[in-house]
Amino acid sequence: MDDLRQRLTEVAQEVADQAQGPGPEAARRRGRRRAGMRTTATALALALAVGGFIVARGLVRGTAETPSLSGSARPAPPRTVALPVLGPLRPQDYALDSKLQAGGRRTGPLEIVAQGAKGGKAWRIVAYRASLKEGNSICAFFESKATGRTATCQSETQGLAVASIGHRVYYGFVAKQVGTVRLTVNGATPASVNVKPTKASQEFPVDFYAAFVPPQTPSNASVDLTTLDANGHQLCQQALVPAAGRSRC
Amino acid sequence: MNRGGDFDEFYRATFGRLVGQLFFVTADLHEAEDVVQEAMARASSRWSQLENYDLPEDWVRRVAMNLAIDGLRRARRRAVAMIRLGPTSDVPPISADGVLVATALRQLPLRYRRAVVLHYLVGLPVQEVARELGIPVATVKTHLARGRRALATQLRLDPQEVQPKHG
Repeated sequence: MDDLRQRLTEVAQEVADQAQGPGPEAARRRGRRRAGMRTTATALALALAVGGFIVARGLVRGTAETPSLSGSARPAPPRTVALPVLGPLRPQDYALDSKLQAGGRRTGPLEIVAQGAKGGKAWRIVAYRASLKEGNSICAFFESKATGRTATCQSETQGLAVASIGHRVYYGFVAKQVGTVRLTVNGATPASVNVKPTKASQEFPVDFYAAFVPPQTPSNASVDLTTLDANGHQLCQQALVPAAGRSRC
Repeated sequence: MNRGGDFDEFYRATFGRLVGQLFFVTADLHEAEDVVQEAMARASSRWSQLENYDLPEDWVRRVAMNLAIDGLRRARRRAVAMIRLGPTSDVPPISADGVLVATALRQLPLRYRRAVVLHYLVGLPVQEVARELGIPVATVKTHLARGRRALATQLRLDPQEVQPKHG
């Protein structure tokens, strides 16, 4: 060992002998305090990030189109996808968005599960079953010459209630025992819209519906979704946020 | 022995040694104690992982070293303001030789100090010092050579006695 190494080692030993730490219990307390602060900071940062995202999304979409209503679920907003609409069912037009549905895949055939016309414009719902990270899911595309096309996927164990562009129509799926879907729109005349879900094929464990709200309905109107069985008994009621995805009903 | 007991044993076995090593980076006993205590606190909160490491002491030393460097950088930024108030009384309560070494270390750039500590005190080969510090082996050799030369001058060692023994 050379002289420098020896000098350093001797001093280090001297310092080590004199070192007076607060002790292991103090270190553990400090560690627990740090962990608590880290948890709090993480939660705060997450809350800020989520809040910022929601605000930013509202700014991008335009606040008039995404009014904030409380007491409703908003987990899976619909996506507007490119035209064409109402053309032939080409699988490539209904592919899962790889960015939003990474790892997901279609597990069933494309089907037109509901269709009709409103104000002289044709509309339809195209759906298929899919395997997503949430589990077995149903992807539904609402298409209309008037509103374009909106798409979303939702676990088939949940209901789905989605407002299409402009919130003039709500579409989604409900359990097969549902006989009527009722939308109650505050401030609209008439105040409620009743539709019967279209019976889907055996491919789907649910039925689909599309309910149009009166054209004069304010875009920030609160909307309640009620499901009734075939005898008119209420099964479920839930406040909806325009553009919301998951439904408890 | 339970996990708390394991950590206590680890703490008692290594705290002093780590402070002795970190002293050569901070050049201040209290600062060295503080960074090692903070590193120990971090180790305690993840002890279930660290206790499976071959050398948990390496992890604690690395954390303490980073904390010391951060602290020194902050101190450097404060130095301009502090200089008007005169020197701080942070001379450690150690022997005359210890004071001499601490004073000599303060003259060394931080990057030299880290290399000197890891190589001469911890006993890491040059290659491992390079890996630990994330710099090329040649740079480590340069830091060691310049650090040695500066310390030899400061401590009035015979330069021939402190020739490199790189491994």
